[in-house]
Amino acid sequence: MSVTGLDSADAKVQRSRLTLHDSWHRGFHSKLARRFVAATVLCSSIVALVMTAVQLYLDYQRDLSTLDQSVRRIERALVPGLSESVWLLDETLIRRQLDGMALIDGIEYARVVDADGVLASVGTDEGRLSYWHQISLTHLSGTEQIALGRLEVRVSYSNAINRTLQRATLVFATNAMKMLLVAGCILIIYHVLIGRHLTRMAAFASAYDPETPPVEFSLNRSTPSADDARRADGGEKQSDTTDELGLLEAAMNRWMTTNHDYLTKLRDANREQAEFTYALSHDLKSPTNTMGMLIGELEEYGDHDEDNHVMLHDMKMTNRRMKKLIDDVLNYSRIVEERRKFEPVNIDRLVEEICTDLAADIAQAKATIACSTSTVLFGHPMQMRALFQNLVANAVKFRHPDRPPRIEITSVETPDRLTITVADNGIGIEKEHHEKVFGLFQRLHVHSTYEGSGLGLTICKRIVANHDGTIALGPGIDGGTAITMSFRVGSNDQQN
Amino acid sequence: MTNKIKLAMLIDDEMIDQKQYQRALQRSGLVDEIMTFTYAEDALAYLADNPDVEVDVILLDINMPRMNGFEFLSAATDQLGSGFAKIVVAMLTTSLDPEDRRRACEFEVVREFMNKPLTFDQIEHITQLLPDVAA
Repeated sequence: MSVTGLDSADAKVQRSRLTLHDSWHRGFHSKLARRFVAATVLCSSIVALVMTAVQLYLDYQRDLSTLDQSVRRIERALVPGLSESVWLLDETLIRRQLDGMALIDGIEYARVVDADGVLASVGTDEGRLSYWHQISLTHLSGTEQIALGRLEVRVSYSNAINRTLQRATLVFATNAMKMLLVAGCILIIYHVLIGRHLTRMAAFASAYDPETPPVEFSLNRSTPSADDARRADGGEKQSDTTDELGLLEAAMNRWMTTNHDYLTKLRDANREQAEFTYALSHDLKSPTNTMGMLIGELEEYGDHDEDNHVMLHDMKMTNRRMKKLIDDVLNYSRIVEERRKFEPVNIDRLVEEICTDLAADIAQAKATIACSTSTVLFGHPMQMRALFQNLVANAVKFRHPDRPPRIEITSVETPDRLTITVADNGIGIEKEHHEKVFGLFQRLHVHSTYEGSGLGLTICKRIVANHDGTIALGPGIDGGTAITMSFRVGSNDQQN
Repeated sequence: MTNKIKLAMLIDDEMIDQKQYQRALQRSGLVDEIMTFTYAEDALAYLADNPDVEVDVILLDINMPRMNGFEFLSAATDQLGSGFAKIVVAMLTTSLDPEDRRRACEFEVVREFMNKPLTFDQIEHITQLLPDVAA
């Protein structure tokens, strides 16, 4: 992603104004914020519920004790009067006194009972949520206490319960409302204080491309220490590095700079090495050429016998080998350094062209090459050419002595991978050598049997790596070799 | 009176180099018989199959396809053990890497580490190593 791309993504997030509505909207749509709020509110609700339950219970107990007090008041204040009325058998008075009693909150039924039965009663005996309370009625005559009967009252606590229920309903309703409001507020606060900074950092981190030069990342937060620093510094936004977000911000910037430095060093080292290799091989070509000329001169015009003739021939072959080696090293160093300049490459057409180039060798070996990929690979045209040329030339070179070489190039396409296989029916490669052959200057045969510098497969491996692919060896046709290359298709389509 | 090498074995993948060693050895007059191998595994197979054949000197190259010099030493020591140790082996190589010299000297059988090309002085030096073995 280009620098501007990174910048605009970040700026977009920053520019979204810090309005209440916007904060609420963003907070609401943040999974993290929702979880945070849910946990916080749940916690606070549970605590509130417990506290409220305790309080309601205490209130209820208080109501019950108030009832108790009413009954005791009856006992102390009203019972003596009632006793007198019963002694005097004044029915109207008894009734009136009972009426008075019934008015007291909590008393729903009162009656006077003596040896013969109920003398008088007031109220309704519903019998729900209530209990009987009996007080004996006595009359003091001289020194004797005469038992007259008893007063039975029904004390109802249904009122107390109703009141408690009402209180509970009210408390829970208000708590629910509070919970919703607080949840909304927390969403907003979370977004303003934490959420938006996390989002910015996440967006920045995902868009980070180590290839581009680092842009300083700043959260531009307004915290007390940042404000102080800004005032002291004269207006420029400062970063507060004393809290977690600040530390993360500073760390991210540090990482980016370190990354960039390392990458620059790596690139420089690579380039230097490639340049050195190139220069070295280039300079080696000169003496090699001179040698070749001198040997040729000796061969043609020198005075020599049979032995010398053989030796001169060996010299010529060895010098030629050196030349080829230098050329191969030059090629390799070029491929290592090459920048990505990708285009769509038609594999079938490429193989056709390669077959034309290698026509002489192919005809001499009586080789048949069947290419049926019908695919287009997004890559570096010259490197692709070198890759397939190497593979086809190898397949022809390492043919089996008993049969004409047959080469089959096929491909498999899946949504995210393109796999191309070059299979031959040649002499094959033993499994124990599969890893070795990709190494630098690694060969499996002496020069008298098969020529080569040991760089062919190394170059192929490097080209495949340049295209973000993998390369592997496997069994080919009739004991031959198959080379399978697998490329990631998605990334290859990116225009760089 | 210098000792003579009765049988020298050359293990080097490059035919042209082998021809040169043969010339040098023959010219020195210090060697009776020479055997050559271009693949180390072939030399190993020969040694394993012919335990009574006494090879005085093996001139061993390092960089060879399939089995290189060090792999040969390792495999030979494992397979042939003490019998192998009686033979004088000299590494003959183009390598200037001191690490290669160090690695070679870890093998008991390696009595000398020489750089190519093979000179008369080097051949004479090898013959002088032989009395140690006989003793």
